[in-house]
Amino acid sequence: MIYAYCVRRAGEPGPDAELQGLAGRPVRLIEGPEIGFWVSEGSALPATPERLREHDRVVRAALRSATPLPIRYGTGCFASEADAREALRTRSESLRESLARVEGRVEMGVRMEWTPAEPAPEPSRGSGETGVGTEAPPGGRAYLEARRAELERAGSLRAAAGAALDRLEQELALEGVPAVRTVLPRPDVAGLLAHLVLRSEVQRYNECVTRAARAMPEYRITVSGPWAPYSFS
Amino acid sequence: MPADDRPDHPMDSLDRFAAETDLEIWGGADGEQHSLVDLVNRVLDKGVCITGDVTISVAGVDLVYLGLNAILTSVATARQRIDRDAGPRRHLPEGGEQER
Repeated sequence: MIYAYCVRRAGEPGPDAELQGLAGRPVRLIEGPEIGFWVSEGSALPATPERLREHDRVVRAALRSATPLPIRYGTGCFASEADAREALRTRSESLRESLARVEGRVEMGVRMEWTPAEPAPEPSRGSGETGVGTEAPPGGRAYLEARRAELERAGSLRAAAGAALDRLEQELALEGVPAVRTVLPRPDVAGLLAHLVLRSEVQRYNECVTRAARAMPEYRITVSGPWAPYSFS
Repeated sequence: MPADDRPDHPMDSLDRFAAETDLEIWGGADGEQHSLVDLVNRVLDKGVCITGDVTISVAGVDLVYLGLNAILTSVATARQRIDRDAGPRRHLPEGGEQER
């Protein structure tokens, strides 16, 4: 079995001999005429935080010399090197297009959290209702009303998150920078933005985020990166 | 953005950035957990899928996704979800449909 971490253009530097991949396996290059994979021998392993870090460590090592196309964990598995080479042939065109899109760029991320951490109060149960059932169980109508109220709260939370993310994007003023936005990935996070930033503009990006964070003190805004362009592959 | 004397190395400029500002890099003050969330969000959920015909069956996508479910639901998130779901359902009359 062959496990692949990322896609590279042919001719770009290969992995260092001491680089360790999944479970400490060595990493090597399988290269076709135009693109190649960074791979290890062996099959995929169940995803755990440690395995994910190992996968990302290899992708990150590639990122240092040139931006690779990161492969989603566990989806680049081949029965043999011949199969991997076949994939390089058949996918060559689309992978090269994707590589061209991310060339010279890194992914940066912004996380926007509500402060205080929980904007959505526990369902304030309507008049007379209590959360803990000290009273006789109400009927189906009460259930449906509570359910409707819950859905309305969820809807308004999502709308508020979308508006907050709109405002953040305005504050960032990163016109022309490819972006991926995720609204309300979790109740405590209003949204995530991923940007595909030129390497030379990472510093400016961080300054933009700092400025936006100061302009929106009611949120906890944090930056992460640089990442390989996972969100743009 | 004009080129300047910075090395063409995002990690370097980011390290410097981290030293100069109070923004968090790689989770910064929150450390592991914060960066793990970002890591999971990307490595498991994004990136190009290289799945040939053979690959899917051999790699066992189900396997990966089982593992994914196990870690994706952090204890905190799971608890929130259970609390949230539990609220209205407590109001179900006896004999009502309980999904939990």
